[in-house]
Amino acid sequence: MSYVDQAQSSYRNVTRYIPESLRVYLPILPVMALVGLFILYPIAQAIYSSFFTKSLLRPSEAEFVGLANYVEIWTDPDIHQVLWNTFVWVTVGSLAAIVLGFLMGWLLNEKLPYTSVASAIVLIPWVLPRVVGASIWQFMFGGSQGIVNELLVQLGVIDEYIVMLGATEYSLWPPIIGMIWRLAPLFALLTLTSLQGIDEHLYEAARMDGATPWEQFRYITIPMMKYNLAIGFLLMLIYNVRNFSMVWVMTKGGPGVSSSTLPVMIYRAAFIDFEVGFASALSVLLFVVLLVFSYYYIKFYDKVRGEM
Amino acid sequence: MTHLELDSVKKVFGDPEKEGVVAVNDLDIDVPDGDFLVLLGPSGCGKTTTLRMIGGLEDPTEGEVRFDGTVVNDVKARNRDVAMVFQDFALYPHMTVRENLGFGLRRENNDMTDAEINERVTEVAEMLEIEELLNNKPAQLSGGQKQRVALGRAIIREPRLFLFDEPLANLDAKLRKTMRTEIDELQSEVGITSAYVTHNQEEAMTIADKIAILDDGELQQLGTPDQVFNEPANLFVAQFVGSPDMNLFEGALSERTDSYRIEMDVASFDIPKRLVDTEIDTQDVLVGFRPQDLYQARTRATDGPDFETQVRVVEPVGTEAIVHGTSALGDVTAKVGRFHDLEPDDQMELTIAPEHIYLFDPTTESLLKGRLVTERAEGGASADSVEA
Repeated sequence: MSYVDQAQSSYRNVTRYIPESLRVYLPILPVMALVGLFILYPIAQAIYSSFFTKSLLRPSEAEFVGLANYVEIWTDPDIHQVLWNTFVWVTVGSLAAIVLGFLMGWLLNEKLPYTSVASAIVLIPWVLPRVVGASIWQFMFGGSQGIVNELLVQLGVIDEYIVMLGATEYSLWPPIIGMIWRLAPLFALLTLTSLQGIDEHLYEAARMDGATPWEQFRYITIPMMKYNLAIGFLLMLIYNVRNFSMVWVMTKGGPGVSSSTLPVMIYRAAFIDFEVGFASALSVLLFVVLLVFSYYYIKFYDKVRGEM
Repeated sequence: MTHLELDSVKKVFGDPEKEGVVAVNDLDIDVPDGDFLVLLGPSGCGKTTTLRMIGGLEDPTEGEVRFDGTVVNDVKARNRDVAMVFQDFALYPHMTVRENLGFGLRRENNDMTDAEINERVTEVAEMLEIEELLNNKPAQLSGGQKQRVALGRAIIREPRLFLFDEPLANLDAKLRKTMRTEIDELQSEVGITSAYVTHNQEEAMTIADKIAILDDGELQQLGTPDQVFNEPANLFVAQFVGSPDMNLFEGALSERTDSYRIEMDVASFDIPKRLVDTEIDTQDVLVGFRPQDLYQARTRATDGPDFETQVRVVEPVGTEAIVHGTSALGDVTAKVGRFHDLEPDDQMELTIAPEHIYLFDPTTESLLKGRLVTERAEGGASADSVEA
């Protein structure tokens, strides 16, 4: 009797009294336990907390308030500004990252000199630690010594240095620009790999069929890439919605809430104002938004795999 | 309907000034209107590059590609009105069969309405018997069906030229034979000048009007299938065309009054001068026997050499067998009938008619005497007249 046979036999002995329908879950039990502990439990805890007023200063005095925290979200004086900021982040930031990233990916796919070196360099923003990248941008946008001010003066756009990170009318944009810088390379890489996945013969067949370069792009490239691009688009949305570090390092969401997004507001509520219940309600809101995006992400991902 | 000409065409990949790779060198090929040209040769001989230059997918480094006398070197692929069938079919995977077929028609300035295009698509699909597949995507098709769609995509536009790049290489053996016949029929039917690349000499022989045999970027011979088989320009062509491979032996040649005497290790024989078109003035020759031209001496008598062979392997192929044996001349392969009583280690006497013997110059490797079809060998013992 081999070790394998012995193992199988003792497994059968141990599991003899467990019904067949449950026995199949035994091998994935460890993974399910981990998922439950690190993913499901925190989510459940957040949802549970969102029904209580609970302060970190006096955690034992939690009081059940039903949906009051959710009502408070809509009456909060800052929420409209924060939601609008988040919306601008997600739309402008994602679209700009997509357009830039697509162009970069396209260029990297061309048979130009040094493209392999270039594709490694392009990835630097993505692999750099987030706080490091954000600090660099904070420095560049600085009001007295920043290179952005200097450039704008040199170009004649402005006459003298202006305060950007500390001015309510500008503070939203520097972190968005930093985030575009960070995300565009990721989209470039996605573009590059899906372009490289298209069989060169399809372009040759299209050329023989009389297709112009634009028609090749329109009828071969775009349809062949569409699900990959959709996945990339959703990734951009997800990364932008949940981004925290770029804003926090550069502006801390201020001045006021002029550059705050939802994650920043959650952080402030939980760890500055210590209102865990309110922060949890906000988190649930963010969770629902991300859930919708993730649903489509998985759907497109399955489509890509289905077409392969 | 196009007369295709390649005039001193050369293709160098990489920098021609430095150490570029010469893929095709000084190629002259003339394909009359409606002819079926096959480009044949081993891997890397430049045949596909040649085809791609005709199609406009590669630019010649030197020389001219002409359609009906007009130089098309600078005409873009999409404007050449040439259709190409690829080895991997290259069907557009995201389009249905109907869209694949119609794609080329929609790219032309042909003023066709959607209804007209649809009608033409249906017509071609019926011709290729794929009408029930029109709404399927390529991933749902079998290899043979994909091949038909690829053919349909080529013929639907009624182009000036058809180009085929090893179109049968991805099909299984049985399908390859059916599709080969279909391509041949289709081309004769529509009468469009075609160029076809293959490394399979059998495919080339059956389908071609003219075969261009290339080796290492150089044209070895351009001729009809009969010409390249019977009168190969050189040793390379002789060995590349025909299956099983030709047997080659060394011999000494001396001239007599009206014949050449060939002396080989164990056999000597005369080849009458009337069978030889050229004046031979070398002492040494390479003597070539096609396996199909060898007979067992017990079934047929010839004027040629007889030699003993010890049978090593008998490979039956239906009514005949390919017999590999060892003789004093060297290893011999023969394709013979009456093989059922042959066993390994048996002695067998082989013979060949002088008409069928090939002679090559051992230094230049060019042909001295080709294989004559029997009609020319009047008088004497004709090889085919004494079947036992």
